[in-house]
Amino acid sequence: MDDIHFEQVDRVDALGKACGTTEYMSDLSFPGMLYAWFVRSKYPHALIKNVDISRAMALNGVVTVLTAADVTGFNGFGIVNPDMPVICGDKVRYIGDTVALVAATTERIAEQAAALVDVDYEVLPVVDDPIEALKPDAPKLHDKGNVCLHTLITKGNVEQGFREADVVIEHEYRTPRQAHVPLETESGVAVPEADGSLSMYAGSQYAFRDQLQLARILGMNPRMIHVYSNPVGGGFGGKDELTIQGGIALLAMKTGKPVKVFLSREESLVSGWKRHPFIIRMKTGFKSDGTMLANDVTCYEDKGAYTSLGGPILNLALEHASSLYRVPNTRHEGWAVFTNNGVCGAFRGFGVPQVLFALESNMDEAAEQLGLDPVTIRRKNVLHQGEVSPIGHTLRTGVSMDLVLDAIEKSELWQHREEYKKTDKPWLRRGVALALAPQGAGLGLGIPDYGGAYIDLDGDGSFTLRIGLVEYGQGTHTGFTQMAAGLLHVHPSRVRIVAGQTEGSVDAGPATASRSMYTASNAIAAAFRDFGVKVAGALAAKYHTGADAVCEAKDGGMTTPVGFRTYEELAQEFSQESPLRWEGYFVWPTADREIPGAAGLPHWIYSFAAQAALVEVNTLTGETHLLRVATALDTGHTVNPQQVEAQIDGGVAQGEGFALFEDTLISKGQVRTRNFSTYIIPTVQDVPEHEYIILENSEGTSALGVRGIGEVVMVPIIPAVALAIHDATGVWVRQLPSTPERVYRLLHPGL
Amino acid sequence: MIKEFEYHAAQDLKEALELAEQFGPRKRFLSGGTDVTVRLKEGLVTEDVIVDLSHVAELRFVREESGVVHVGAGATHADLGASPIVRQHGHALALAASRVGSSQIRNVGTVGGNVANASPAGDTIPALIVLDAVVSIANRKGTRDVPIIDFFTGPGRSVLASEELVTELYFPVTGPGELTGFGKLGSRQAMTISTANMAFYFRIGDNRRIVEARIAFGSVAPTVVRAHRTERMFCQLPPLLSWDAIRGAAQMAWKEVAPIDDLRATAVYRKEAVVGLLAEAAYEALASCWHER
Amino acid sequence: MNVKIKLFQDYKQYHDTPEYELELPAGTTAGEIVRQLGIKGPELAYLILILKGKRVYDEYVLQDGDELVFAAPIGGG
Repeated sequence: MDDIHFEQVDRVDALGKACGTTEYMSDLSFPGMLYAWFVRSKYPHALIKNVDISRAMALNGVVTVLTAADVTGFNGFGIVNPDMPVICGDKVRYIGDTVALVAATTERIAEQAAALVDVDYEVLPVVDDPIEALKPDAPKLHDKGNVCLHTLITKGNVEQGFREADVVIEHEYRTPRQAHVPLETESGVAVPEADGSLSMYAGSQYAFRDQLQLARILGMNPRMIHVYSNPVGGGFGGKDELTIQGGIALLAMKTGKPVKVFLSREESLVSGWKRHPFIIRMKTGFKSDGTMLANDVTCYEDKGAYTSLGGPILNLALEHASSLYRVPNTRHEGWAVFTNNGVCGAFRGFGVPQVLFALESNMDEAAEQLGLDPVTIRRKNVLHQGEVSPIGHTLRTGVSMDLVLDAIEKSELWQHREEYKKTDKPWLRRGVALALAPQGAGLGLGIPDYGGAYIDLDGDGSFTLRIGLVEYGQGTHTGFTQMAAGLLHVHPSRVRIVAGQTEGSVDAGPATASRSMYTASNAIAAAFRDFGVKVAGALAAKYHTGADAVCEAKDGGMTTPVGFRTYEELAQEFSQESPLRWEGYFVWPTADREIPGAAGLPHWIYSFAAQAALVEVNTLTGETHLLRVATALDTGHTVNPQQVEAQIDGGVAQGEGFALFEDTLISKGQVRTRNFSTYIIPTVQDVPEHEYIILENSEGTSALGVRGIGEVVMVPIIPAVALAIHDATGVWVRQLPSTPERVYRLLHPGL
Repeated sequence: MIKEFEYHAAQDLKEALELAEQFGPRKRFLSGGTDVTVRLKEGLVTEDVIVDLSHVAELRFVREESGVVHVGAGATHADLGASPIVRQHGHALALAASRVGSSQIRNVGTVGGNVANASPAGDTIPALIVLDAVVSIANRKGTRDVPIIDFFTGPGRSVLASEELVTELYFPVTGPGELTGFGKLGSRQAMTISTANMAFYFRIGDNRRIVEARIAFGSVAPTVVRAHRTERMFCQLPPLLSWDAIRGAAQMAWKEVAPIDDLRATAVYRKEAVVGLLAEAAYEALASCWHER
Repeated sequence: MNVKIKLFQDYKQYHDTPEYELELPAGTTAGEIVRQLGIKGPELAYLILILKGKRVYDEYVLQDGDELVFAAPIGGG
């Protein structure tokens, strides 16, 4: 199927989104709908002594107020460990925690009622530093203590490696608590149906898991819960876990009325999931020719209050802590530690941006000390297919570290970097640096990773593709359409998609982990094969053509043993069969051996990108502008070049935000950056010019050769920006975001 | 939650002043609304009457008469940034207005609102100060004029009485031999509250020296401040383009500002940054008339 | 008929070995295996059954040679 042709079309969702006609779940209204308000904790850490709802219930327009006792099923949620209460009963662990839920006839009344819920707290000391939280006498957030997960992966002997090293680089790095800030905040409507079932309309990244989490909370049969989660107004990982769904589901089932909530930006920034800040201590040893000998890494992941995906994120970070470089001796240790600093969960990159900022920085510093250039030292160490990774598994699938490195070296920006660095202002300095990254794709070993797709032939000869994977802005639905159309030999306009709903689409796993395009390529191809087989079988039965008849898609129809048939003709021919549905299922390949002590590791397939950045630093103020970026990316097989470039644009902007602007500041458990005037994301004025270099090293385990690229495009840009600041000014950035004041203080250490 | 309030949309200046008198301290004016609506959402508006000035067309103008530029309080930042009069005769003000918020904010936010708000971070204020602007203030009985440097009494506070309204700002035209400029430090390129801002005015004498200088800094004191000692340093510069000399003169600003630590930056960094803002903008402006030896 | 059972994550605690084979009478459903294992409470609510990448439910009638996966829909990477 490598010769498949992908017809290029505009984004299938472009017109509706540009014109504002697309209905997001947060746009929906239902007759008799009530409005929810989440009563949030006043304190980041406290015991709940009493909750009095009488004043709130007495307010005209209030329909119900729920407390922990009203949770009908299991009062907890969490993808890995359901330790986050839907409504806290005895304890709160961050200021976004819910202590009661209000439903009222208007949003205003609901908010007023929330202020009338009287909660008696016994305030506990705030735990706000993950390293302090590990000490034996630290106050405990959970009964089991503050350690969410501890992982240690070792290979070889790092001490031996350091003894043999000519240069050893050792530093501590810190990374920000980045917020996802999707345009559509956490929102949705829960609708109780006449048959006792519940419909949940809420944009999220995995309807089929939401269904089970809601079943657990409500104590209901999952098949009595219908989840509609597509389209999503931006996710980036922040809607992988449940957000508001549990609360509005309880309210809807209690009141028998549809219940809606749409969080304000302020409430979203205070209560929502964030990227885990990491403190990384990394010691890396090199020989004088640049060969890496050892890497000793300790990561402290600020977990926030509840588990969610903190474990897999820590482990993916540790998997990547030495990148895919040839390091014979490694010691990767990590601690995911509970604190009262909000809640952290999945976020594009999933731990990899944090550790590669540290590693690529140590790499450039070693190169500088050894008099090597940044390309040479990396080329010396990149791994190839068939070699053993730094955590000890053999790389069986394609490895493109060398390809993206070669391509970024040949980029216009890197080739002409000395010219780009010229400036005639005495106070300005420009620098160029590069970095590269692998990003493990899929869910990892030990986690069933699978996906299905249905292709329905509709009566008019067009097709409906049914697949669980949602569109939250990535452009995947355009890609799915092109893949299905390419296999079927029809124009993509003949394929429509039904996605992200437990009724009418099929479970294909979460839209996370750079897995959507890859999973869909295999599930759709499997459904297409089923299509050919079933059509051939049906024709054989009808026309007695023999059992070995073969059908092939061609020119808007199929060649069959009884001649060419258009899809319209086939639809008519088999119109009695209902539905005309073909099914495809796919299971991800995984490693045959796990990494001991590290659940989920290793990953089997990787994405690869290298990026170079040109920055300009104002030495008078520390302001840093990212002027130009070159990206070399291996797509495996490009389905839609425009969407690939758009993913690069978005990834670079999000990486730039991580590197220069974004951080949720929390002090003593209170969020200080509650809106967009203090939580700073780049605007269109801040994003750079781009140079795109697209490589196609086909991924052999995809029926169509594709790799996921959604995450890796934001990773190398982060160290590249930090290292370009070094190239410009000579200072090493160890803490991100690299705000003007931070850069200024590095330039003037005595200040 | 936005609280409930009484709302009046004034159709002309006369009605606005009547409403001002009627409601006195109970009312808050809203012009472009770019600040008031944010404060309403944050629960920071104590008044319970909003008087909307955005329909008062007679306050929206820019004109030049007899060597004086008149800017109506209702002129938007976009108006100022695009006005040939302001660009030519009050360049610093055009630059400052162009750095406010974003296009959307500049299309509705007004210079009158920026001044009356009296924020120490207001971007047009240092520019108006170095242009020696005068604030025209009206109430139902008449008008009075206040030099802008005397207008502000503290953060968010001014000499405006509750029944008064800023109607206009006016300043003498700048011409050949007069340089003005503006600089701003924020957390990104647009949509950013100034961490520090700065405007300057230099009059170049026959000997090409600076014979008169006015320098103002914002976000580094309870109100926007003039930096008189720094101005004298610039007047002592030899007329040669020297980065070190210009930076040295700007260094005096360190002693003339009294910033605070807040979420955006620390005080000591703000002091350093205003020196940089001034040095950078002054160097660029003086490069047009001075040359390196 | 012969059916292979594969237990993942927390469901491993319900059997001595995470993978095992069963000889079953024809007509045995997936739900009967779930009940045999004694999976209850929140773990039952969060259980998914997968057959070659396809979700199946309690009423699914097992076929000779099936490999039935017991897992929670957790995420990773």
